Amino acid sequence: MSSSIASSSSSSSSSSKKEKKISLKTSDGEVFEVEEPVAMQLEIVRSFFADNEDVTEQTVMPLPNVSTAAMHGILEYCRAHEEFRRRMPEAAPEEEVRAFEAGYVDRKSNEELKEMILAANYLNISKLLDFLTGVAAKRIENKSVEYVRAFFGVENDFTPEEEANLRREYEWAFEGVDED
Amino acid sequence: MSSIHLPIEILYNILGRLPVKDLIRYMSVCKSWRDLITHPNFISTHMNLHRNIDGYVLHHKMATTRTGLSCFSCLSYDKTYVEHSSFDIPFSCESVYFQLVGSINGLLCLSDSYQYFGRTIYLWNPSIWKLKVLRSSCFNHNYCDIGNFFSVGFGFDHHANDFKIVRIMYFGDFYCPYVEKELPRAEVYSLARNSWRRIGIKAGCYAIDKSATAVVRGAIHWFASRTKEASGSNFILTFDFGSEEFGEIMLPRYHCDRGRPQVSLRVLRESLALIVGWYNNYELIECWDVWVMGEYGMAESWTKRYSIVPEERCFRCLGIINNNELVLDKSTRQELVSYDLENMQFKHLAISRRYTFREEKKECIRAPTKKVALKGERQRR
Repeated sequence: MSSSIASSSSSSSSSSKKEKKISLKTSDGEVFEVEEPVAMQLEIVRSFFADNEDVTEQTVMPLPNVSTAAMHGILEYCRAHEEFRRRMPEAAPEEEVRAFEAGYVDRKSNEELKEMILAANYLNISKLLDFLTGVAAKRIENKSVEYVRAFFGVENDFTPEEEANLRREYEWAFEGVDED
Repeated sequence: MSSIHLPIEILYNILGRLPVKDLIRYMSVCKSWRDLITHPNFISTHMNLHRNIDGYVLHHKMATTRTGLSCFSCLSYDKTYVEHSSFDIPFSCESVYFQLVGSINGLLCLSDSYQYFGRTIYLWNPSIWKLKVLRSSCFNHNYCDIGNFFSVGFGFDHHANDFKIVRIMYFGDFYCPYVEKELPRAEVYSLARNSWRRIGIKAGCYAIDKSATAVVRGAIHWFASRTKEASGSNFILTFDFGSEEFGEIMLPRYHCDRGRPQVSLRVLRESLALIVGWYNNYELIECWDVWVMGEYGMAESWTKRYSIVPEERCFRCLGIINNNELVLDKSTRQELVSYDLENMQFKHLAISRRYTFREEKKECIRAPTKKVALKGERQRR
């Protein structure tokens, strides 16, 4: 469903030939030609173009902290939201947005999710960052400590005694936890 | 093992969304997580993020031996008052029932009931399952002497950022309590210091309310009476948690020729309110007067704001919610209703089956529920 939105958006942009594109270069050297209203959702891009009047359409903006894979995910989200905005400028079609967002993250692994969180943070897209951190919180809700360590790639630096003490003291918090 | 590490501000954002129980468990993830989760900044961020789940705590007084029944219901703060969760007290008290003294930021102050009230005090934070039992006192007293009785108030000192409990010991005669056999004594407990301290109190009066529920301007209020020797008359005894001093406020002339009313002190739209219920012949209340003290401490500012005769008779008033609705106990049919002072309409509070038990009594107080999070914990560190 999300891909159909993305393709319809690109077909509508090709029909209006004058639409301005902005070139963004990812950490692994790939250049993305992005429709201006979509690129402007990236706060870092918007302020780059607002602050530098001498940049031209030919300027390629480097984004050294964003991988190509993350960029695909980011653009898919921003294009879908631009499409929603274009169709219903007053109020977003909430149910459609929710359905899109649910399908959008279901396909992402935990590693992909974290990579996109980092990218959304760097690109300063607060709406997407808010959404993705919410998804991450949902994924670690009611999980075991081991699951959470693996999710975040955190090393346990407690001694076995310290950890056992914490577990004993807060025994009730370790009851009724989901299986990993 | 994962290769991507998220920066601390993002971790903050993610963990801030989790329920308290998860956070307590994730303190064991690693040392830096433990430090982050217990840091005062994180605790206040978490409280702010969860502000929207404020609500009311409803205390069902029931025997602690009863299993499978929850002592507390958490009602949502919006006008639906739906019971969104409930919790029990996982420890037992020395009498049959717990009595709720008060609740601030989700930290509950409980004591035993009836003649044991006030002797032992339990501070309990249900969100993090932390319990502190206070058995000590500045004063020696015979635990079982039923002539002694206590009044207790629970409050928060905003300047010192400290939870405090005030306790007054009266030495009367159980069957005739308004006779003063010995001078009363008072002490105040500070959670930050974790100790009781003796304070001065005037003789010649009794707080009739055992626990005070009305907190206005950092002070707590008891409906009180002069002793027989000081001849009669009622007034409001106050205690300011900041200055740690007692005071007095005059009551309005609320009496009429309908006998002895049921009187309780509450808070209505941040003002001190006096709710006076007049009985009919069947020991049910048929008429309520609501007095409001417009300017705090000014006796001449008392005005009778509402005088209502609802179609349904009730047993007692448990509190005021939403700044506008009396919570009333319809004892005959074991249910709670709210009465809107402006629309003059009853609404049945949808609280589950528990009310079919005859021996239950309910107490309603306003209290934020989950936002509490680790606040009590922080105070105790």
